[in-house]
Amino acid sequence: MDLHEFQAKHLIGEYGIPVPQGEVAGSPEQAEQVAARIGGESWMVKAQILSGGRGQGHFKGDELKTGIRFAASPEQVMAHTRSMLGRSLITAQTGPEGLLVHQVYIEKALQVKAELSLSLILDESTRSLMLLLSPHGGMAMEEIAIKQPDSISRIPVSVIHGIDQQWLDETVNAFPLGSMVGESFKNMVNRAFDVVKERDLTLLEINPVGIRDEDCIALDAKITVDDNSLFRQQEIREIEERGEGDNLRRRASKDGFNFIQMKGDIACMTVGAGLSMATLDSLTHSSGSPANFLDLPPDSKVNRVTSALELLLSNPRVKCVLINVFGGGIMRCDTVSDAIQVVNRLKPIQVPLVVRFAGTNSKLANRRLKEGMHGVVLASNLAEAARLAVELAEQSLPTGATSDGNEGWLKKVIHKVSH
Amino acid sequence: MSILIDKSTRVICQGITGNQASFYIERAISYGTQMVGGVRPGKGGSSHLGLPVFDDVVSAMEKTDATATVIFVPKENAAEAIVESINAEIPLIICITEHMPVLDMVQVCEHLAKSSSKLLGPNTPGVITPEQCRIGIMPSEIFRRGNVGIISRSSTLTYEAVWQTSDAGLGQSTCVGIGGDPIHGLGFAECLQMFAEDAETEAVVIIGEIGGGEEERAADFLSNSNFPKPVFAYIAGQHAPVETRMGHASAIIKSGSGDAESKKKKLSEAGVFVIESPVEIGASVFRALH
Repeated sequence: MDLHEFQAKHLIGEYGIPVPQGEVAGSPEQAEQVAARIGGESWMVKAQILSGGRGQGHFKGDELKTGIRFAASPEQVMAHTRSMLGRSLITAQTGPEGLLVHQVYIEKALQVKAELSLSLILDESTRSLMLLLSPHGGMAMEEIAIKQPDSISRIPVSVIHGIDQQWLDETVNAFPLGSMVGESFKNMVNRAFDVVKERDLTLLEINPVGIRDEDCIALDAKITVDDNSLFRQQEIREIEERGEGDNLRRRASKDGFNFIQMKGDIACMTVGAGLSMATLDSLTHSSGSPANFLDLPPDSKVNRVTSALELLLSNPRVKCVLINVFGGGIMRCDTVSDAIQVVNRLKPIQVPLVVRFAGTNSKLANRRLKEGMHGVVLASNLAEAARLAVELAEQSLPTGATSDGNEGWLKKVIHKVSH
Repeated sequence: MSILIDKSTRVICQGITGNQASFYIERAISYGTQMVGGVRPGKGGSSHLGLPVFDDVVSAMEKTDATATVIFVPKENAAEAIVESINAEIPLIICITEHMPVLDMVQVCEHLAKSSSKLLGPNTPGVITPEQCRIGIMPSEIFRRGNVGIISRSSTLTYEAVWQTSDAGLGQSTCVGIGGDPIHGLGFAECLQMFAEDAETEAVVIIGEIGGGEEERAADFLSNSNFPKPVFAYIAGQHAPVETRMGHASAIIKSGSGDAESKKKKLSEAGVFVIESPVEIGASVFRALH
């Protein structure tokens, strides 16, 4: 889970890392009040989206306006805020659609003499936290790595023992910094490690770090929290619960399964992440287009499967549903066939269902569906299931366009494809 | 022959009294696995599923001569359970637990680096040598004794691969789940090394997925060793959207690295037969071996 800049700065501020005075605002009027409260003569207005490169990005339909702007008066703070809120900011990382700005962060504008950067990131290849320091700041670490590869110093950090202080001394002393600032920067690096360890972060990047006369200050901060740690990170869990974002995904996560919306017309439901990815792959190989990724955990009961299937069917583009379940251990195929029947009883399913059951209780599940439902095609393996789903989607109407007497039509289509 | 486990493997279970653990340990016993005991702090001296229960791993090992442990401890305490078994120097640790905090695993790996214990997982379905020993949560009825070694990051997709190889008339020597988390114990490369030395294994199938660097390290290992057996690979997530988390914590493709195409290319350059579609795993291996 990624945090917004204002949330990240609040968190590192709690650990004694200096950050500019600032507050978040959701309207131009609020932004003006914040600027007045902070005081001073100039401010930064920063669009809050979960993406880097905001300062080089631009708003959809307005190539000239970036996501981070300087304001010399409270009126200008208001004007900038007005032109950011409710619009999409496109950066090198967001894709062509950009991300909608719901909030801006208003900060006191600061003069700094130079900029550097620090990053602590989970590194899978060394199975450690990697500390990266660079005497350059303001560009993305990836960009520094390409443009100034020799400038980045890196060292794996033990989570148990912390940062090697001798290495830190030697590295920072080689940077063109005054001694007082050097101490302040080293202090910031050590505090950063504390935040990462205590708050279960997989990424903390402070970039740029601004150098002032006597100390260093975090001008921007990027944080990714380990989703698996939320059970012991209450403060961060609260941020997640009141956050904005993808509603369908949130609903799925509340009900205990993984869901990602995609652009196609064949809805997919599978147990297990690996088999879910493989199911999408085989559909795409058969020239089909998946409407989503949906992975149910193996300990799912009927009610969770029911809510997953209802979520799939709520997508008006869907023309066919592909269900691929490999029963094993505590996951039994009849749990899924029961859920399908429950959903169908509450509201008859208007699109064809292709179902492939294998493993535990697959025969029982197949029999129940065959006896209890129309509109279901049973497949005996993944290849056949993918092929049938693609053929049915080609001949079906989407869930959003169903008409009366659909059942007869459904039977006809299914009959045609399965014979 | 096989790798990691066989009929002489003596297994204990940490967290044996839990519902899931009980369910799977009963199945392991009826499969013929030598289950020799369980660990549950505070319940030492009692018995569960007909097995003696101990307070800690050290006393369980003293009394049972266990050579492997399977961990079903909840995510909150799983790291502690792994470290306890590392300190007890048990040769093989299999951690089934899902959703462990990743920095807990970084700490576990720091302990592991100083030990000779081998770790599988976390978030693994476990390991099985068909008809000899099963440790984990896999449906054992789909496995057949045979000559194909399987290594995978997934669980249900492994079952699919196993089912296809069994259906094609092939069987498995050993099937290993290395786990779906970004920080884990044994990787593809270490398992390949073991399969290279196993006389019974004639071919190896790698079931990889997007994200992380396991497939790349396997390719490096194969390029630098004169691997004596054919190796096949299927990489799941070829059509996953970029920058998205696909259920497994480590299956995130960040722009420019860890995507299916670059993994397939590296593996193929290392001499691996890359299988394009997940429906062709069994048939591809069968064709190559016959």
